[in-house]
Amino acid sequence: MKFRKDKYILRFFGMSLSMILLGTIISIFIKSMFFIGGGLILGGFVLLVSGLYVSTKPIEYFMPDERIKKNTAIAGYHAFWLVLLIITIFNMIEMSSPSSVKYLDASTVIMLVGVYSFLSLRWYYNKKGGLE
Amino acid sequence: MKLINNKRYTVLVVLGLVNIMIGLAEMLKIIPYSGTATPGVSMMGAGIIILIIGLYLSRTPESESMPDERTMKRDMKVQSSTFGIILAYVTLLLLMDVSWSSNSINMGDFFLIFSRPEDMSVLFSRYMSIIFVAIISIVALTFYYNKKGDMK
Repeated sequence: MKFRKDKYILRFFGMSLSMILLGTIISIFIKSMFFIGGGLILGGFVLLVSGLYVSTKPIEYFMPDERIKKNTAIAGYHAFWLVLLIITIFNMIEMSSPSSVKYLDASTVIMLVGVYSFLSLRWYYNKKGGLE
Repeated sequence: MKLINNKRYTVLVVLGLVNIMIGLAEMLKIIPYSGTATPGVSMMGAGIIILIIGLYLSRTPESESMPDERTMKRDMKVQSSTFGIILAYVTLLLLMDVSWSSNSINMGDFFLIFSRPEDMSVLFSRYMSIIFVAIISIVALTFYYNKKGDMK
């Protein structure tokens, strides 16, 4: 198996290795922020594995064409309005009712709705074909 | 004079009128309300703005009021980028909350510029700050992509 060694891949590997290193340092020396260190190590490993996969393919393989760019833009456009709607609902609840929604709980909902709606909408528009 | 030429935007006019009526009903205590904010005034304000936009759009010819291909493409690109900014900001706020709230530093106060009376605190909540970031991003990115010209 042949690996690519251009500057993009090296930058990718550099980033993932430095994330793992930084995460390890944070986990060892700053005990109160171990979850950030753990997250950095996990993210670094994911980047490393995806970088290894990407380096086996030619660079043209990952270039998005016009159609994929358009689908991503339209999925992001709809996901944006969904996320804004969710945030507005939380804001209305906080403004108009005595009980408030804690941000720690609400942020998870916002992120889940945003990411999953974006992914499913992109899948839908890829399947649907031509956009109006 | 005909008030509505373009029926497509009648829904905006109706929505504005409904908003104003609900706001009035809340202010006249027909709808009971026990919260701290004043939704009646806000709803009436929003209703008046929607009504004016609806009346303006329903008076303009369809060829002028409909966005062209370039504007639609630009808006999609802008709002898609804003979506990423919002997700990053929500994650940042969450990290700030998790990191600092346990040490009793309330990062909600980070967004306050002036010392506030207590009943204004809801205006500076985290949700409002997200909406604020979204609006600023949309304005800035629209300006940027308009200036940049051709979408790549």
